[in-house]
Amino acid sequence: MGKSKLELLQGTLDLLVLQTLATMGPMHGYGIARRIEQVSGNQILLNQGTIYASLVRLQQHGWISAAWGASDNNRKAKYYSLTELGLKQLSEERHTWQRLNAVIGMVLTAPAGE
Amino acid sequence: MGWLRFAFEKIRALAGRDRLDRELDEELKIHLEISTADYIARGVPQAEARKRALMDLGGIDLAREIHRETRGVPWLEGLWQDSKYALRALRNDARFTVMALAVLTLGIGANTAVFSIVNGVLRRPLPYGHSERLVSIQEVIPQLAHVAPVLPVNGRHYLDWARNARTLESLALIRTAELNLTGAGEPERLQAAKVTANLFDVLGVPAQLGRTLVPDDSAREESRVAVITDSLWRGRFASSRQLIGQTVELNGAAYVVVGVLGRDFRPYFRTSMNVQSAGKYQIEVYTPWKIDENEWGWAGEHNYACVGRMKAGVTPRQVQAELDVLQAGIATRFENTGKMDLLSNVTALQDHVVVGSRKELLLLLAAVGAVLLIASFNLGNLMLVRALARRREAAVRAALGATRFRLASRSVLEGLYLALSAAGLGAVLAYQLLVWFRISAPSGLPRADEVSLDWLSVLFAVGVSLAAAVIFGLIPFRSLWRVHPQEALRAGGRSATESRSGVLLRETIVGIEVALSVCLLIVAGLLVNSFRRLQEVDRGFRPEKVLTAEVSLPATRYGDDEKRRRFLSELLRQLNEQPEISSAGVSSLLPLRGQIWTDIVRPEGDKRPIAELPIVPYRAVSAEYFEAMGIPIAAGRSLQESDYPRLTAVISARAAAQIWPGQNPIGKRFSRAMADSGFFEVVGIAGDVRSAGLDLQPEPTVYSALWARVPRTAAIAVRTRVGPREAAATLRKTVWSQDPLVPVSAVQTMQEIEDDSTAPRRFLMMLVAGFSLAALLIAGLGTYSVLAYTTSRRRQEIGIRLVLGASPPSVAWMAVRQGVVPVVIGVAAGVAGALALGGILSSLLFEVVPNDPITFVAVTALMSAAAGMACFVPARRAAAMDPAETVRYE
Repeated sequence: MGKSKLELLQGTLDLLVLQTLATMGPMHGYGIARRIEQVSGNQILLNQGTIYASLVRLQQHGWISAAWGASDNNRKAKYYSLTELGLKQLSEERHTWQRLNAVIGMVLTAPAGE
Repeated sequence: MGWLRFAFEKIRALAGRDRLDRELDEELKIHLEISTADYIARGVPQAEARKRALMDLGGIDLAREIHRETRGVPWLEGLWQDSKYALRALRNDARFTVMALAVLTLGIGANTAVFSIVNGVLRRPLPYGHSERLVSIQEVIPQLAHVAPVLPVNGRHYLDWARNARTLESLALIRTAELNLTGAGEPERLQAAKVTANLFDVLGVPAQLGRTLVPDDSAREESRVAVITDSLWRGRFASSRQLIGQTVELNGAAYVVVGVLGRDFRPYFRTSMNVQSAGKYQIEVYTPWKIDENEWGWAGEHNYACVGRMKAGVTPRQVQAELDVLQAGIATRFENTGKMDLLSNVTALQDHVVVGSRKELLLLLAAVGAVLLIASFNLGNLMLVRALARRREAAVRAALGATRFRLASRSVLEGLYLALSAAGLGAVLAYQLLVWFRISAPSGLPRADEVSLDWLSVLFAVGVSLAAAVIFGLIPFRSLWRVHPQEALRAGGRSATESRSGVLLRETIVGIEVALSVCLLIVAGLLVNSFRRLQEVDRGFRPEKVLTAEVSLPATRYGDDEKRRRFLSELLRQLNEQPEISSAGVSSLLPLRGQIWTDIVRPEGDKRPIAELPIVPYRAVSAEYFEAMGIPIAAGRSLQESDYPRLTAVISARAAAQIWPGQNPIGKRFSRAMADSGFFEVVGIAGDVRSAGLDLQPEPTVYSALWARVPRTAAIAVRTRVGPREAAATLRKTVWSQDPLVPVSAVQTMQEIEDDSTAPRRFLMMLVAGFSLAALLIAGLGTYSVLAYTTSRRRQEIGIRLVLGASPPSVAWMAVRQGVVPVVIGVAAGVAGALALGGILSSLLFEVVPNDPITFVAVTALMSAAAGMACFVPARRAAAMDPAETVRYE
């Protein structure tokens, strides 16, 4: 597989966005997308447009909030930040994800005859 | 809580679409700027940087689209769009929309109105407390069942039941009478009832003002108190709240008004055995009745109405079983009656009230339902035609990925819009129809004044309209289901033939419409024929030019027979002298008013016990009565004033045949039940009169001389030379010239009385006939529209045939042949259906059999003519086609 970029499921994109905001604090859409790409070592194939769908969904659930602000170059941009509800949601989802990971790992590595 | 906020956000998203679109565009613009700037910072040239930024973004339109999809509720928005489309389509095709709406509104309105009537009369509980526990109790003497299947109640029997019946919680006895209300204003004659003081407790109704009767009112003596109805309170006493405690004069005695009954109260108990008079009984005043056991004997004297309240969990059948046991005990006390068994008849009060109307009402409901069904199918066909015209559009949408759901949703939504609008308009129409109905309903229909539009009716209207929408929305839906995009999109798409099953569907629909219409028309035809026969029946008297009225002689001044006799005798003498009047007579009862008074005839020398003696309706009449009413004297002579004081009588032909079979009754003598009333001599035989009802056999009648027992209330019948109405003023004047305090009431022509008696039949007939004509019209229009459409689709084919030498008539026939088949099948099915229904209808018909061939033939001819007319225009159009043009077209 190596350098081919993995396609992402919608739900997991939500999780990555939440995590990004938790780590990095308030960011605008482009920033979030770039960050995810960078941190994954460019292994994640990201159709950047889908970020905005993810962001609107997270907003509707109340896990992030948005506000217009000024970027570093004094450009106007819409900044998203994690809410308390979102923080809770993030830790829950991380938990779920890790458990899922472990379980699947168990199934995939189970020797024959067990 | 999370989902609540989520839902809220969704609604916000739906509402602020434009704003959100703009914000996103703004964000995307910034996104691209920053992204481009990043690339430039890494050394990529400007143009290339922009291109890469765009590629990374994945396309602006895609971003927009998935944003829109994610934030909204896509299927809802799709539906919203489709519904706007549907509205626009309806608005554009205004002619169709208006016609469809009109037909649906009429159908739904009529159905809702009839449903409300059926609901109000048959289903809704009576206006009493826990009315399902109330029963009407009557008596039955099997040996007399041929004269009277059920009898009113004897007072002594009532007392026995009241003391001993354990299935009943309480019982009340009612005695109807008429009282003169005098004192304040014009004298007025009121229907009144003397009732056991517990009546209102048995019924479970409170007073709206003051109180109802209490046991004390009749415990030691009859108190002179009265309870009046709401309508009397409003009409006569102007709803005065001061009325309680005031006195009114009833038949010359002072009564204290102690209470006013509620507005919804209705007196659903009757002493008359005739169903017809039920509606006319409007008892306005109730006074307490102290029952004296010794007032009656054990046998005979069945004069009163009885209402009981069952204990919880008891059924009418159980009450009847218990009463039958008590009745058997009572029968052992009969003396000198011969073998006479005694039983009871206990029915739930509601059944008792509406009996005789159930079948008619359900027939009406079926008829009006059939009309709506036909209309819905018709609309379905029309919508099918519209849908076919839009096949191309549907094919394009299907090719672009629309699901079947979305394809169907437009036509379904159109249907829903039509149906729900029609439901609203229909409910309004139903309201108006019910207003008209309450005013003009025949008086024979019980509870007609209680009918109204309530929430159940509205629910019915909505339900029916949705059902109609399903029918006519799904019919085109089925054909759209199988859309083959390539076929429909082909350049010559217009000439693509319809699938075989689509044509079959339309023809089946036409067939069903025709079948329903034919069936309905036959029923209507039978009813019309029935009514016609009824009008032509030999009544036994001649109602034209006869005016009637009732005079009631107050007991205070006309206490004995002699005074009354003199008054009436003088009155008749004066009336007979008036120039406008050719003859005037008096009778205790008039025909066709649902009143009956029977007594025994004991021929002289006949020593049989009472049970074996003939029981015959009696009238007390004056000499000129027969002349006034136009009743022929077949043998002997009429009564004469000069007969007085001898007791003479005239009997009807049937009475003669029943009492003295095979003999000449003239000169024979008989007595009545009360042996001391003396012997009557038969002086003549009169023709039979259908006095119980035009549709019933004439009753044997004994007309005894008026002076034998002068009634307190007498009916005057005058035969006029001019129109009967004009004589009314003269009649009143003559009465009041003798005694201005004698009330003259119920002034009607004999024709009006007769029309009243046939009103229920006429009402049903007119409604069913109206519905059936509507059905015929709609079915005819349906046939026409289907044929017109088919013909126009086959233009090319017809043109080719004409070019190839076919004659115009043969082409015309070919064009319509398709349309004729379903009509023929429909007629056959309709006839079969009507024959099957025959048995159910027979009780509604008079002298007409349910498979009356004339009616069937007439309806078949009518439907064929209608179908023929429907086919005519398309056929003519086909024959008149210019072949050159049709072949060139396309």
